[in-house]
Amino acid sequence: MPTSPKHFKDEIQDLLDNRLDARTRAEVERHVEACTECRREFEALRWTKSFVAKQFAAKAAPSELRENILRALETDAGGARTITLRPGFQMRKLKPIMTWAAALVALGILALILIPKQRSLTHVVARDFRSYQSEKLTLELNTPDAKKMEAFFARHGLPFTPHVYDLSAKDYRLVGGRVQYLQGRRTEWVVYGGPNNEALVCQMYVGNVSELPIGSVEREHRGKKFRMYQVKGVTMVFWQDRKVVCVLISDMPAENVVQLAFAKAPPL
Amino acid sequence: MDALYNQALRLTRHSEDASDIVQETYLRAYRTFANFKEGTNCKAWLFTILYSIFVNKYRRDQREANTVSIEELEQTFHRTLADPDWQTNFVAPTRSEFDSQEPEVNHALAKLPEDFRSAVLLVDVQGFTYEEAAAALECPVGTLRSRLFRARRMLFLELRDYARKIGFIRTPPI
Repeated sequence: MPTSPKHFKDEIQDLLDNRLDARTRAEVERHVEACTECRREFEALRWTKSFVAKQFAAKAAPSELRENILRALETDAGGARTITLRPGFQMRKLKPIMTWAAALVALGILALILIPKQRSLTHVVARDFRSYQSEKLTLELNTPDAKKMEAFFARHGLPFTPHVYDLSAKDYRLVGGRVQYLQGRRTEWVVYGGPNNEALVCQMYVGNVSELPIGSVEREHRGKKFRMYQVKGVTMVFWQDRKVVCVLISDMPAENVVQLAFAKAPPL
Repeated sequence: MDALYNQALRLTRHSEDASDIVQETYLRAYRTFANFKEGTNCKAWLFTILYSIFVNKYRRDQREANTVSIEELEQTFHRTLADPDWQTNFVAPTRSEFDSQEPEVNHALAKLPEDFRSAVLLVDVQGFTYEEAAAALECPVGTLRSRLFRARRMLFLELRDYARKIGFIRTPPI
């Protein structure tokens, strides 16, 4: 049985977790190769480790959690702090400044923790699209009804009047949507399914296309300017609609995305 | 933040509790930021806080880990592997082989004693070293190693039928 002295036990786990020095590792590997029992044990444990790692890979936290944390940190930072001041000092004047300073510090720390590596906006937009395709990013409402989708966004307090395009004339049916954060902004994030089941996302947020990184291809249609980016096979076409930036995102052929944007963007 | 939320979710099994723990973790991290040593692993530090909150507020049965007999577990594990029906090849799963978490797998993880579950999640899912995981769970490295040792065997035994059913463990051609 494997508990006999000639078999390894703890070392098999150490081999699995890469915790052996080179000499011991070579010795254990030789044994595992030659010993059926130990090899089977190693393979069973390796399978389990790999299976668990893949099955329990992180899924996205609820979208409102980040906002709740931010609010809690701001409240905490602005809360009571015991500070001794010389007599006659007007605490009333100092308090708002301290509150803001503490809130800024809290935001700074949160940013350090939450955003270890800042990516450009277009990379984040493309990454979110891929996350949806790999089901790491899930929809908060599944509906083919644009009015219901708009009502959902209205209930979730977006900083602009929600609008969900009807793309049925172009054979794109509404699938659903979610409130998605984009570099600290709450955005409307709507998914459509194409005639061949290709995914198309329309995202809207308060901002300006001038904030976008360099490297876009500029297109013009009916006097309106569009900026096209491609990141890792994902095409994004941005345009400005008053105070809102709209972007169509898909991994279908780039020209299809551009033509959809031309068709849906309101003319100047 | 997703990693923290997922860890909390696996520990509490309730999304609201998990959200509360993560929020409390960030608040405590902010309040005790002076304790964070620059140059050390920030993620591991956050998990240490998270686990401490979980233990103090949510842990239900601290003694359940002691109910597992290592001898019995070892015997069952090796009896299974020695069974002639188990002359098998183990095929590592790829992401494309499954698109969502299966209830059987969640159930298997939930059946693990909580300390074992935490050890597996930190090392195998979060990729922590033994030292980082032991620090987060506030236990010696040897204890962490022993929990992992048992946890993986228990998980294998729980998952074997399910895995064979859907073809992740394939019998080799004769």
